[in-house]
Amino acid sequence: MDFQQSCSAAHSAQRIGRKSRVADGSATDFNGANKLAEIIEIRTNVNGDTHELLVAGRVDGNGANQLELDILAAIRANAQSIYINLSQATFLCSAGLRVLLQYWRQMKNNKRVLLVTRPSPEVDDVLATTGFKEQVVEKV
Amino acid sequence: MEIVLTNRPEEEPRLLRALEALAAEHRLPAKVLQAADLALEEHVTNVFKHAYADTALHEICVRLSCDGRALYVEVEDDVRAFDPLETPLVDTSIPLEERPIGGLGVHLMRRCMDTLDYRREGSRNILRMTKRLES
Repeated sequence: MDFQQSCSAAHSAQRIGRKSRVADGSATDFNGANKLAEIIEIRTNVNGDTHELLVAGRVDGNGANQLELDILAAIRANAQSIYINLSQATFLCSAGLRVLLQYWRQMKNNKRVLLVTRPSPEVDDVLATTGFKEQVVEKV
Repeated sequence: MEIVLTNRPEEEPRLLRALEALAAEHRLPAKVLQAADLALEEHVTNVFKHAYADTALHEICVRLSCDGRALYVEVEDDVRAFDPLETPLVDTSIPLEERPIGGLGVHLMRRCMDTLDYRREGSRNILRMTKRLES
């Protein structure tokens, strides 16, 4: 899909601000692979009435709140399809699942689409073990 | 390793850093670290958000240890008696259209850790979770 990025400057600045590492930056670097303390970053690309949310980092309680705000913004912008790209998401907890479930249902009830695309292995495990994968992840 | 948290959201990064430090020290597999991270997120969030019926500052004590065979995670709090293992099992075969919202946090804890044991000692809840290093 050829998405046109549509983040406003303020929107981008907010995201960049949110991306900063945890305050003292003292997280242990263990072969660069086991770093946990990441904050969520979400960018939205818009192509007509299709919105793609590119989620990077940690969808924990705070991340789920941010994801919900961005989904709501897409719905308010009259998105017919919302794709949530989780290829760069490193963590997904039940708070994030609740957001996905709530808006997956809402969009479906309104004859619209909300799907997860390209989940990372960590996120894929969570989606599979909760029975979300079959219905919420886009079939390639 | 023991970390004492208060019920404030800004405390969470301290817990993550402690978990990472333990993982580095014991060279824990990424899967084990991710499992403990998820289980702690679910349980501590639950204690913080749902279990305290007042606005007072409370302490939650998290103990992390590893003996080469398994990672042990123990969470102690002074919330009213709350046994997460009494949470009904989630039937993941139910279509999402009909699925009740809730209960997924404990479901994830059950699935990502190998054992969960709850006990009540005096006025404190203690949840001990284990993740084998080779599972």
